[in-house]
Amino acid sequence: MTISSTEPARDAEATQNNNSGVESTIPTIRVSNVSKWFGDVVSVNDVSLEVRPGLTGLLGPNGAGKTTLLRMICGLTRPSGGEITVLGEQVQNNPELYRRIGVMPEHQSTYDFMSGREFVELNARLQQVPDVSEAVDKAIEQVDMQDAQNRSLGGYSRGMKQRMRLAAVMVHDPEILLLDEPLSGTDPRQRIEFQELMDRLAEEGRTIMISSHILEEVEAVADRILLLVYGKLAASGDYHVIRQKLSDRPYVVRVGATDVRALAAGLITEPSVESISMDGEGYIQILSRSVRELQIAIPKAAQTLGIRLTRVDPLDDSLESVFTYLSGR
Amino acid sequence: MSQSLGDNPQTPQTPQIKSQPEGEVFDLGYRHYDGPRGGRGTAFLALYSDGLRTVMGLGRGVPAKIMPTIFALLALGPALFIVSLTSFVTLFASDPDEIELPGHEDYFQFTFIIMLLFAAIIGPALLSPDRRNSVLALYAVRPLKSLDYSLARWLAFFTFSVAFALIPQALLYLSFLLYDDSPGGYIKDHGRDLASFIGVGLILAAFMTSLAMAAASLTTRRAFASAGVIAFIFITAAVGGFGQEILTSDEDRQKYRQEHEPFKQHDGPQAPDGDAAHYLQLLILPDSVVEGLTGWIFGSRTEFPISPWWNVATISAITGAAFGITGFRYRKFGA
Amino acid sequence: MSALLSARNVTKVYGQTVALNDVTLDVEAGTTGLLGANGAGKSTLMTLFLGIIQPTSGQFSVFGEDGGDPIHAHRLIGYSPEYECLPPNVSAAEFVMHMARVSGLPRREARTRATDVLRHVGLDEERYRPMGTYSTGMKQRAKLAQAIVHDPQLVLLDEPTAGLDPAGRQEMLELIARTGHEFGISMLISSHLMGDIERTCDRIIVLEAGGLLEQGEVSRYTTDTETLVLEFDEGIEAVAEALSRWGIVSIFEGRALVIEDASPDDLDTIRDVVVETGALLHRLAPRAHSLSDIFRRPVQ
Repeated sequence: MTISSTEPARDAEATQNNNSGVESTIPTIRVSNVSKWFGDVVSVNDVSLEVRPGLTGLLGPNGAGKTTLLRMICGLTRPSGGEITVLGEQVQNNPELYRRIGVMPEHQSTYDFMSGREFVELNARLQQVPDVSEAVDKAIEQVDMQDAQNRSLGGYSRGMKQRMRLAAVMVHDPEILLLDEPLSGTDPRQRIEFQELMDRLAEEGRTIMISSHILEEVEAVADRILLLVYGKLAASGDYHVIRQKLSDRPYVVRVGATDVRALAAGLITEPSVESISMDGEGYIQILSRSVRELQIAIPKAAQTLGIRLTRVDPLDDSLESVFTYLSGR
Repeated sequence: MSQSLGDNPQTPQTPQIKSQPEGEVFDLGYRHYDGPRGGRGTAFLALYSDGLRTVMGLGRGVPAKIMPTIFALLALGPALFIVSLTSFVTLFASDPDEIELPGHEDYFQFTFIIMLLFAAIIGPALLSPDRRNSVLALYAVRPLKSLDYSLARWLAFFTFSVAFALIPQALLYLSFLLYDDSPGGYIKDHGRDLASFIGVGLILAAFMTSLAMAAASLTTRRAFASAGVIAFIFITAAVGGFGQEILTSDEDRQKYRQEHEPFKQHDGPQAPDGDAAHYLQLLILPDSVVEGLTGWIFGSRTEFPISPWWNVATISAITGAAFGITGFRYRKFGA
Repeated sequence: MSALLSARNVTKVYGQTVALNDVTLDVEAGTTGLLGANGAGKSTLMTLFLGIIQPTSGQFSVFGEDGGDPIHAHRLIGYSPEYECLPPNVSAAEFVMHMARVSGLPRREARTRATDVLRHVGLDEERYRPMGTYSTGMKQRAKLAQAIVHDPQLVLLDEPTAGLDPAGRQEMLELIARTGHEFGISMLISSHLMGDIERTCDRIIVLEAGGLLEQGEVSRYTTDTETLVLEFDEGIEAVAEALSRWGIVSIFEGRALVIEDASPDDLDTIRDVVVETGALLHRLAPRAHSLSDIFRRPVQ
């Protein structure tokens, strides 16, 4: 995915094939220099990005502008500045385009008196789906809600409502899915099923954007992420690559070995090592700002000293730490 | 330890008590609590005093204090007015005894309306917000038994209702007392007045409090409860009024007019002779129930269509039912 | 060690819905996580132990007392519900002090305890402002404060990270971990997020659709396996090839190289191969089981 951002483009064209193996060159969603302000409050500040088929995670702290951005993408709000195109067209007042988009907002009331199935049917009809019954069956099956489909929504648990809402959003077989906190209220088993469902949908060539606070979930599902902080795009792409590019950020590795102190003594002479400390569990933690050099130095020092390495674990490798670092800058 | 250089070691020195430098680091970490722990009594008291604060709007920002202030003024204002009227009349009128000044009983007529509004508007603040904010769940896991919460709140509001009813009356009493020629004699002569207004005040306070609490316990929104209380009074008044009209035949009306024309000083409710109408009016219309009761207690009324004990029964029944509703709504609370 | 809370064959039925189905479990001292989806029965279980609702059938005991004498138990328990429960027009300082008093603390001690506890949960000047002006994070802290102000032995927290963004969630989990370990208060934390439980709890109880799925020590579920996972920033193919020449079979899994049944001696070979090929070693670690494995097993 090519990213054009206000920061100097430094992201190499990482081989971002979508799962179907076809290199897509046409971005499904293109956001160009988009801003949105409400009076004095600038909610989205000159953001440019592109979203391609596959699964993209949209992240950011509260108030970062994620929801506003999503609303602009689905045409609910007009950008104050800049332009958004979806599948090459403007979204506003474009009913044909709406048919190809499915949106699941974070907070949505459902008609509690309806049954789950009726709710999905309603959406199918609103979207003028040709064969309603079949589409509804398929959508409900995809979210594994066949048993409960005829019960009223008022009796559903939160996780069940979420799944039914997802079915309603998918019933018209949209190419593009925008989901805001789709996993809230679901349990781990449902989340695993959701991940599998998302993988399947992405493989079919759809463009799916998921906004979530639960970073470990996004990590598991998304191919790439977009991180918004205070209305600006702070990072995009594969978070491992992002992590590598945060070269001015200290890198902490936890190392286990048969003789950690000797290893520590050997490594402390390395210029790439800033500090070494013992943690309470028998490992050493090495702080460095030269990732590459350290990655070479550790096994080499172990080999030279005849020490067996049992563990090398970068401590801040998670999406969470990348997020925390970037949101704090 | 510290001796200045050059001191002669032979010379006996007064020991210079320069103490060792001292320092201490205090543990600011979490401490467990080993102090006294009260039981239901402390909890009850806390709920009661919190209730008092709620009525007065203390610790809840400025907007919460507006209504209580208005009501305080409303309660005292007329009393102060009568007091000044009394002093004016006493001091400047040629024959003070000839002038009829509003007395305790009359004041209660006015007070009834104001107390009603007070109960309706402020009363629910004690129960509805806690329900609305789901704070009750937090109380439910405290050492409280089922009636503790509602009773504590009831008492808090009752305290203010009583104050509302009695303080102005006390003011009146004092002013009458002081402006009388012989205060000592006044006390002796008007003992019944004192007992009466205290009694009626307590009854009214209990009645109003129970109504307000019952309404509040039925809804999470304060405004609905307020509307409910007011509606109760007005609707019963309307029902009673209509019912009374319907049940009174023209004959009865004429008969009544003949017997009671001209009216006496006490412009009480039109009391037709029909039995059904009697009961209807005296049992349903809270304000006339209260009036009848007041008249009876104060002794100003000697004729009653039906025994005033029925009025007592009605008031007690309504109060009891209201209290019961409140208790019922909170029955699952706590233990 | 006797359990703080025990349930034996507890069932709770609401009309058509079975919220809890014949559940038997124990909550011991320490930090215990209650994991399950919304509707799995977590809140029902908690409110049951708290005495707010009664079971349809079955027995339970609280601090050793059958059915739990609420008056006694409530002194030893603190509760922070999932939903909003703070009056918006009152300040945290006033509210927490009031709650302390309702828990039986005398006036002066209530005030000092409230002040201390608010400091420990990290509410500074905000404590004097009405709670309606608080952010979600501050509200969660205030809820925790009123739950521990009377120094209970056990605190029940229902979804304490609900509504928090990642930074807020991190802070809240750290606070909870501190409360459990530093302050020495046992906790029962319910959440539908595994990460919450993993980061704070020693023990775990898993509920699914009203029934008990698992209970035990978290460490039991997160043991290392025999499988080794290698990740490289560069040179992964060279390493795989070199390893195979040494007779070590490795499989590509995404961006990682996985070696099953690795022996300790293999570690030396791996190290030497890495040095030889000049690959950039990003990670070398045994794959650990995770809590999510519980959910990958087929449903009984």
